[in-house]
Amino acid sequence: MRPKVTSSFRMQMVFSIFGIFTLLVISTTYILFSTIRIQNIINSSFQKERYLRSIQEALTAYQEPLLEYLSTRSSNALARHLIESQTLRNRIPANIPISRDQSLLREREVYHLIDAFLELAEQAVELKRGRDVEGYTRLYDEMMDLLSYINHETESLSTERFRNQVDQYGVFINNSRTVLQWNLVFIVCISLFSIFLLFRSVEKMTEPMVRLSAMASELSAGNFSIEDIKTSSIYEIDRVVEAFNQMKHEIRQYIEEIRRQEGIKQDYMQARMRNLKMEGLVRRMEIYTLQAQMNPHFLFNTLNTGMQLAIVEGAERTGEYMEYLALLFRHNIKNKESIVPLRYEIEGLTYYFYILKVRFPKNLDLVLDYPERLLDTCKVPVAILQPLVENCVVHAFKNKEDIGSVIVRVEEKEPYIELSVSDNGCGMDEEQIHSLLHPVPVEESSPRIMGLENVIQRLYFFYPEDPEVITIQSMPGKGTTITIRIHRGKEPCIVS
Amino acid sequence: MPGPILLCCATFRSKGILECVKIFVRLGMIICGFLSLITLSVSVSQLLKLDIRQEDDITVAPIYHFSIYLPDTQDSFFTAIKRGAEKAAEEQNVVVSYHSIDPVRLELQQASYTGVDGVAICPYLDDLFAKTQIEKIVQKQIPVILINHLILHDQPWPYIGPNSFDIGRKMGTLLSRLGNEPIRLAIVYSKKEPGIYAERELVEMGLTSSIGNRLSTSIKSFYTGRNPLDAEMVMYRLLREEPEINTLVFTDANDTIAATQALIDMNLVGRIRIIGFGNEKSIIEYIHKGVIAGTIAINPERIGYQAIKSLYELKATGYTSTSVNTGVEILDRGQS
Repeated sequence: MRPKVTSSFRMQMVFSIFGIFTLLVISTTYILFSTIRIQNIINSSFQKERYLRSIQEALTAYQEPLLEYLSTRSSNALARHLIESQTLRNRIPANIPISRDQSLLREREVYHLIDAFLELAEQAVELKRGRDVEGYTRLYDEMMDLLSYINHETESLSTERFRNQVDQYGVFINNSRTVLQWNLVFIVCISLFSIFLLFRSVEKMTEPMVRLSAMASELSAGNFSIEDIKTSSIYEIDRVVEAFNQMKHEIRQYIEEIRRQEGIKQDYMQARMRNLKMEGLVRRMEIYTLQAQMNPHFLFNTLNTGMQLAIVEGAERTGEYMEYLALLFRHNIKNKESIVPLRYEIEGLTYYFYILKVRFPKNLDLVLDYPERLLDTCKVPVAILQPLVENCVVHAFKNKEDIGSVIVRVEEKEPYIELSVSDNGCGMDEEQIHSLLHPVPVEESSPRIMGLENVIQRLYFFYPEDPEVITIQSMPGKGTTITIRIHRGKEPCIVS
Repeated sequence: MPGPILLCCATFRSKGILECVKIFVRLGMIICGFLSLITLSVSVSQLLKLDIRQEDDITVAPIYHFSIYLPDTQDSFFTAIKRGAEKAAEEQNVVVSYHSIDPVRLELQQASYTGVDGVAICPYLDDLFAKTQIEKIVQKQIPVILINHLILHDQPWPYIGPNSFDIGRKMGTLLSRLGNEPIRLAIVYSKKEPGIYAERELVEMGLTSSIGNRLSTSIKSFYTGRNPLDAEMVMYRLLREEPEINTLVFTDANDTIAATQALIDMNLVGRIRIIGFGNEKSIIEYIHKGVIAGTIAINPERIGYQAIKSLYELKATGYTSTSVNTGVEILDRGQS
């Protein structure tokens, strides 16, 4: 868009200064005009008197050619008389309106008297031409009376008017003084107005610059969220303001982009760190498993030999026991997946329960409760139930004489599947529960890790967004219930 | 001003000095601009009204210009005539100018040249002079009306005023009411009341026709001039020269008042009866006190009023009543 010439900084300055100058000139002109008008009124107040006086003088002067003509019948005198007569007639107002003012009425009468005087003069000239000596002599006498009366009336009128004007002049002086006082107040007000207008113009031109300066300070302090500067009506400043606003927007966008990229990078680094941690844990688990597998492989081969020997020797119960033991070891060995169907986990637990029942036939009561329909539809992290049961058997009934009870239960609580392992053992205090549920980081923990801790750490790794994926309810002497709650709709966070 | 200052202070507290200054500048600009306009308006209106002369109101221009020629005196009688004329002029939308009938001042002589639309003349002393000038005016086709005093002439010039014979007759009627004893009567004429003075014969005829058989002597006449105190001198002279007079009739209000005061001063109340002239307040009071037996009042305001109305008719239509009797009133203790 092409800028208007009038909106340029230079023109705005010119307009402001010229406008104020014009205002002051007009005001001063008005003051001058009012003073001149007052002088004119004073001057014109005596104008009518001067006019009447001039007519009176002309009328007196008019006598000379008339008398000369009447005396000598000179054509020169007649010509002068006619010229003077016409001049006088032209000076008398043609139409004199009737007024309610007695003074103007008298003036009207004077003009009629002068007109009548001129008429009489014409008649006298006519009579002179007709040589009617008696007629023009009589008329001349009458004219002299009339002239005397006109002079008297004019003098009287002037005196009367002057007398009236003396009183009115005092009133006029007071009124004109009032006008001058109002003019003084006006010039003071208009001067103040001009000063304020000048201030306003300066403010209008400098305000965007002040805002620009403030914005620059804010930007240098790192505050990019400040509002845009409003544009003014000055083209050059508007260009600077628009450029500044645009620069501020671009810097803000650039910084936001940098921040976003920094965030992504940070997330990436966190994920990578987590993966490293997971990898370490997995590596340790693998070591643990390999350590554990060395004996099972040996034990598995040994057990097979023992089982065959028991069958050969006819010890069927021993053979069955060794078979389950072998099944359990095989179950533990064969799987390499992190997440398995629930059926697989329950199957392993069934083998384990058989072995425990053989081991503790009289003082351990084992219950496994699960709905069949969930076994193939739900998936859980591998080896999470057996370590818990093993933990119960190893720690819960240490100093317990009566029958220990371990109940493993699977329940569906939409949208969760809940796995619980309860015992009626010695229980744990709050401190123990807290230390279990808030394990030390993997890199700080001892290489020899307990089964329960491993389960807890793995569950936290698989479900990092759910801090209640595993909970422990326990009191000393009141048994312990460990509950695993897995959201069915959410996939576990598995390291690829 | 406290409003803007308070506003500035409030802004200063909330937004700082820069905003405060900005508001101050804007408010100052608005207030000064407003004041400038007001002062300019007042100054312009005062300037336009400024004039030494009183401009004539020509919203309703008068139709005619009439002149009234009166004796050159400020007597209340003529003032009342002017008052009545002004009233009629306002009603008829005409204007009236007043001139002296005194021959020395040449005003009546030049009346025909003044361009007026009609002339009302109150003839004074010299009827011949008045008659000559009236004829001159009539020759110029200017309507003329006589007021207060009639001039005998073969032309029927319209007349507005009281009938002098009627005045005399009313005076006689008033005297008849006062008793049956013989009347030794003196009339005091005045130059202040030229109409009655000019037609004194008619006045006396009216008196005689009313109380002729009760007059024990002929009617004596006395005269007063323009001086309002002349009546006092006349009273002393009358008592000295005509001690048998028991009834005095005056034809001027000022003479009545001055003579009555002299009567009181000489302790002659009750011995000489006074018939006054005019209805001034002091005369009415004397009537109430019984010092004056009664008074004859004519209505000069009505004369002036009727004169202008008749002039207007004459100018507008060419016709008016030849004579309008403005009437005479008797005021005594029963009626005042």
